[in-house]
Amino acid sequence: MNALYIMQKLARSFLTVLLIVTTVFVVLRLSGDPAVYVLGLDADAAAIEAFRDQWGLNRPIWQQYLQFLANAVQGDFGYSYFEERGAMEAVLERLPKTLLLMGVTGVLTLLIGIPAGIYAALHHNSWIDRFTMLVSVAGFSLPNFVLGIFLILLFSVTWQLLPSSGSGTWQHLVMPVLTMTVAEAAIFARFTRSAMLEVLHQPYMRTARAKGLRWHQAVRRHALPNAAIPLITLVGFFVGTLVAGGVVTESLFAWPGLGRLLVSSVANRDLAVVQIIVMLIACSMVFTNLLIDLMYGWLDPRVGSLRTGD
Amino acid sequence: MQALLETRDLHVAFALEQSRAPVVRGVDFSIGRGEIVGLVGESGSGKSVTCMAAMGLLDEHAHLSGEVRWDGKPLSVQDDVCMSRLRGRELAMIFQDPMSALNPVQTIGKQLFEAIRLHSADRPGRRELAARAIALLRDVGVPAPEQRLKAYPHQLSGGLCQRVVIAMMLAGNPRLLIADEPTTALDVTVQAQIIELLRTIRDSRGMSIILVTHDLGVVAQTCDRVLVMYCGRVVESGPVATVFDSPRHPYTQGLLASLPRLDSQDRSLKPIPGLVPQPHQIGDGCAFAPRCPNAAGGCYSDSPPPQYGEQDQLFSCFYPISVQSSRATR
Repeated sequence: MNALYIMQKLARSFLTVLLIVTTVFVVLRLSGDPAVYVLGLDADAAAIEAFRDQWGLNRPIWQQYLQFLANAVQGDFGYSYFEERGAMEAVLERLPKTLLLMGVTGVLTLLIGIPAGIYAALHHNSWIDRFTMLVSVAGFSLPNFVLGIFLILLFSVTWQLLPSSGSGTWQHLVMPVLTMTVAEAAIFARFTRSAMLEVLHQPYMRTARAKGLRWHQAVRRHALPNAAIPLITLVGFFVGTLVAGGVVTESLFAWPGLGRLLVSSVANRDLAVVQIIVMLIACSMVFTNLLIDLMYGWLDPRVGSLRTGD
Repeated sequence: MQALLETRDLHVAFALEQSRAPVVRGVDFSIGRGEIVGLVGESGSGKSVTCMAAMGLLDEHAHLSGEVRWDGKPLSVQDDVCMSRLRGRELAMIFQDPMSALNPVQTIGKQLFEAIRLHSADRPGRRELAARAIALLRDVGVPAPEQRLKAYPHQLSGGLCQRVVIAMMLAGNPRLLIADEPTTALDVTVQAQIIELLRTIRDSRGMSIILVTHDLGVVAQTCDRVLVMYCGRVVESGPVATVFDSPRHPYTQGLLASLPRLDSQDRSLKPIPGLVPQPHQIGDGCAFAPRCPNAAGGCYSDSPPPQYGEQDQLFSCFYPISVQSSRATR
């Protein structure tokens, strides 16, 4: 684990983000004319031409791209045609709502999924193990939009206990969080269980007990820390699925976060807003994975020594 | 002299889908103080399972019956609390593959400290722990022990890892060490060193050792007594010299005859014909009967009881080899 290794990783991360942003930039501009979306199909040709001219949309795409990069470097991320204000401002306003949803979901997922997986592994082949796995298969096979609609039907329409859309109170949070947590916790439970089972059957567990550790001591000191290593990888994917799940769930429950903003901005060809959200998502994914890579080297000495050529 | 470890009619069966597979079928043996006992037999004869049962390390799928006695007192081997007090400080065990017997993500030092802390009444500080760990590593012949404490298992060779595991097991100064094929995964030259180390430990600490092995040569050089197991039973036991000089059970004779010999004119190997039967295939009779040159009708229906030969030699066979003809063929 040396400075050169970290520098390489950072450079690669930066390139990844740049590649994603570029792809999105090109695809968005080739797939529809924002002037038509913003002004409407029946707007007159002069107005559309004026709009294009104002935002530089009639210039060649490479010029637009370079302009975009130059502006971005100076902290100017463009203007939202639709909200008629700075795009960054529009995005930052929604960010806390999404972070709240992701944070609560993330914490709940780990608090439910990991202990359930550990418990199932420690009681391997018991009825409680089978039951946990049955629930977990059901949990991640169920698409979140189906589960979400089902919850709305039950809690909002039939029992009228919870609001079906919007945000503001903790009641608004319950269904979106539940919708996302079910699938995520199910995946974590399954993965934790298999990681634990793998570790529990390792010869070093037998050694640990042969030298005098009680079963639960050996589990705490040797099985849990070792099973946590592969789990770290899953946390990396988790950030990605949280974002993806967030887009659907936020739309479903009209949760005023980034996911919903992304969907509406794509539909409206609000280029600058889409650009920023995609960049944020890319950065968070790349950053998490960078962190995981570094943690891996620190947690598992075999990986660390391979990389530094020790 | 009272035995240290004794089993009486020990049975172990593993639960299968519908039935149970009897893996250990009535094992009686006793291990005296300070003696090295070899436990030999083909794979699947129940050697390891017998040892794991005595350590209380079998999982919940194993059904145990019979008695294990430690120091004259019955031992509840399926009670984890009770056994964890004995493991490490009365009886300890080392295993076949030393590389995977150590936790790969913890340093040698951390794993040694854990063992030392478990077995010391006082609460030794870091410096004291390091000193004791280094002393243990030195006892088992690890070169430059100070530098090894910070090393991870993958940075050591197999032989060194096995020495570290032995050091860990010595932390509680146990009276019995069970070595389950401790050299099978190691190079031949390293094998000899580890066996030599075990003998040194026995001599310096007066420890008893059960040495599970395939290697009859090692048994001949190292052990005081030998137990020959076949299909979950001890078929012959006794002082190594007696048993190897004049085996009475046809299986023991077969094992010895299947060794290549340099001093004989006839260099061809003489394997025992047939295969070890699966646990569920064993009937009421002698399990070796289908492969035995001496087997007759009774062998297939009744199980032969153990009988004494010369000098504590014990064997279970209806048609044992006579002492004269046994000596003549060796």
